[in-house]
Amino acid sequence: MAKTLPLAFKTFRITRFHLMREVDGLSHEQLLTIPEGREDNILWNIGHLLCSISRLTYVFSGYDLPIPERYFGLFGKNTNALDWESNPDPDEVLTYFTELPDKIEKDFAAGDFTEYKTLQIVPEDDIQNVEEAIAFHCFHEGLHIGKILTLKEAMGLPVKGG
Amino acid sequence: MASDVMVKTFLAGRGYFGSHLADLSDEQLTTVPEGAHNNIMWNVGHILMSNYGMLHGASSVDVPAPAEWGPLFKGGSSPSDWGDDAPSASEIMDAFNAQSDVIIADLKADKFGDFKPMDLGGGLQLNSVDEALGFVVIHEGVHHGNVISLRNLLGVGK
Repeated sequence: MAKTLPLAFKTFRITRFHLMREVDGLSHEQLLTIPEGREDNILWNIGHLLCSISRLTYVFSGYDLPIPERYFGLFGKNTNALDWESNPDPDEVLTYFTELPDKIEKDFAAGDFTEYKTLQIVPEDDIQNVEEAIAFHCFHEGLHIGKILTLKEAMGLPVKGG
Repeated sequence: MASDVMVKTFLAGRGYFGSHLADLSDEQLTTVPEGAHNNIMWNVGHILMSNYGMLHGASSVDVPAPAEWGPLFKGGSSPSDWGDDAPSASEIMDAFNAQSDVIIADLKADKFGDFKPMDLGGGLQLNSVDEALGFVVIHEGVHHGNVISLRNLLGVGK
């Protein structure tokens, strides 16, 4: 029998609902604009979250990356959008981003992610299994929703709010 | 007791949020930088009151914070609308720093049995206090992100 999904999966769906209602309908130009004084754009925040959740789920459970390796050079830790030599394809990034949560749910229900390599996140805490990883990622995703909101405000775009 | 995973995540997020607040002066907490609508203290007060609303308020338990703080920090409000009787930055920070212990103690004491389900739109609902704590985690992240952006605008840095 398929496993029922723990609480963190529902929280992840709620996180994505709030994130996507800020992002849906934006043009490529809006996704790629870096406002003055910033080093990120909306697409960088999306790609960054995509890299992070891929690592927190598949890589730390011993599976292959579900996204192109080159994304880590564009969106990984300590990267920024000012350093991009050419812009990534927003449609490709958004397709991976919106399809991955369904894949994670399906793979979890099928019994994957049972082996988890503990990950230290802050000095006093660690992540011990994939449910904790997804719960932590919801917080991390919230943080980048906050950054997306301030990017939209800097561009004079209307926001739905947090 | 509530979902251990979400309690652990809430506390981890709080620890990280706290590290972006502890080094700020009252002046840095209360300055609205050019181009912003709010200051850092507003974001902290908003999280404080919203968390109590989502957990205590939604469960018909008395909110352990002054009721007159509610309108000052509700969504869409701004410090530019505040009068002379607004709370000080240290009052808000003290209440915020005490909040995680209050929430954990009240979860342990099973105070939220009468949680009233909440509609979020998009076909999504919060049906239990555990689910509400999940929402609290996301929402704190959003305002933590705002605080990081405000720190940059104030030139405080990471």
